[in-house]
Amino acid sequence: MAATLQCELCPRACLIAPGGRGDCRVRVNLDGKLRALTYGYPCTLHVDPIEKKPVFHFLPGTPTLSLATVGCNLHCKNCQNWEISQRNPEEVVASEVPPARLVELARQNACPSLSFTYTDPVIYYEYALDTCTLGRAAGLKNILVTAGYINPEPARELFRVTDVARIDLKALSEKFYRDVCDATLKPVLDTIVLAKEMKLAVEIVHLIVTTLNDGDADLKKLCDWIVQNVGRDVPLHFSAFQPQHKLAHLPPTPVETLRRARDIARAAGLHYVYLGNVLEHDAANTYCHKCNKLVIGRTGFSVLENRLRAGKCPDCGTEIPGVWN
Amino acid sequence: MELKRRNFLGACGAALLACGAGGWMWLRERAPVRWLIAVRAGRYPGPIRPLDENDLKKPGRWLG
Repeated sequence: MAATLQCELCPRACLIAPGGRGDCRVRVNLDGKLRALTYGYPCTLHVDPIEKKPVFHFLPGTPTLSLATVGCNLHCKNCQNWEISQRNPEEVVASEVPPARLVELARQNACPSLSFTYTDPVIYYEYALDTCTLGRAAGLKNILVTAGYINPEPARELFRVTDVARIDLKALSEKFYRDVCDATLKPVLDTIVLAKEMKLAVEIVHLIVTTLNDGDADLKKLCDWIVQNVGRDVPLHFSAFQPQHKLAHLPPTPVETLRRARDIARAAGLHYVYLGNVLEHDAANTYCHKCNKLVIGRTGFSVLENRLRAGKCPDCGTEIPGVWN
Repeated sequence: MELKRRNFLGACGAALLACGAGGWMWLRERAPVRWLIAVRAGRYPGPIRPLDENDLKKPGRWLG
């Protein structure tokens, strides 16, 4: 009789009986071996602007080959991609694209980077790891768009071949993670700190969900944690919630809330604060934190103007942290 | 029939060994085997279509 397996990839530590699946829906116990059902089978593959991730301080204005497989190890009630993240592979069409083919496609489409995004790359870990390894050998950069809910050992292994970690910090509240995401906070914080320690370019997204994590005290606590643990130069993106999935009854985040969050973040000492999912004229611009002059002008996902000179502000010469070309 | 001390101890030892082996097999079946890196399943269980390389050039509809 085959044994029960315990998956050690993420903090859920799923016990998977023979023939059963993990909580992510894609890691299965077949013949006593843990198998990845979606390895090599993305359900979505597109050339996106890097700003759509959002990643603002890494190769701005470039396209990135972006992919996901079905499934997720979180179950956020507000998930905007729930039609692929909260589905079984049996329910979603996929195409066979092995890692080497992804690298080829990135080159054919003039993409200097690969992005593992839309759902969480943690659940298609082996596929992401192999693709990142091949991509790096071919001179491509690797971007993980993740909720950071992963154990330290596999995270370290994946970060060795990653250039950018775009990590969601959904709240600085255990209760929010438990009630809204069916997860826990500490592993996420550990992942953010680990990514910074391993010298990845880190950008943090905080989705503001109306009534659930939009209080001034919550926002201040979150910004203070970022300043103390990853530094003032980490770009922070406040993103507007759109009523979706199991939180469709809540109103969308008002733009005033996003502006208030930006004020709190700046007061906490963060240098690069952006607003996303909203039409606001200066929401996505990068300003020099010393002289406050515009260095990169953006609208939507487009770069309108890049005034950086060798990574520095053209007006005062201050170095703007990032990888610019 | 008289049970000699040596036979009695032998029977006790055999019974203990049998219990130990049974318990070990029971535990082995139930205690989970820890596993980190999954192997490829080799076959996607859902519907598959060929990659549309023209559709790929457009930005994705999903967030992120």
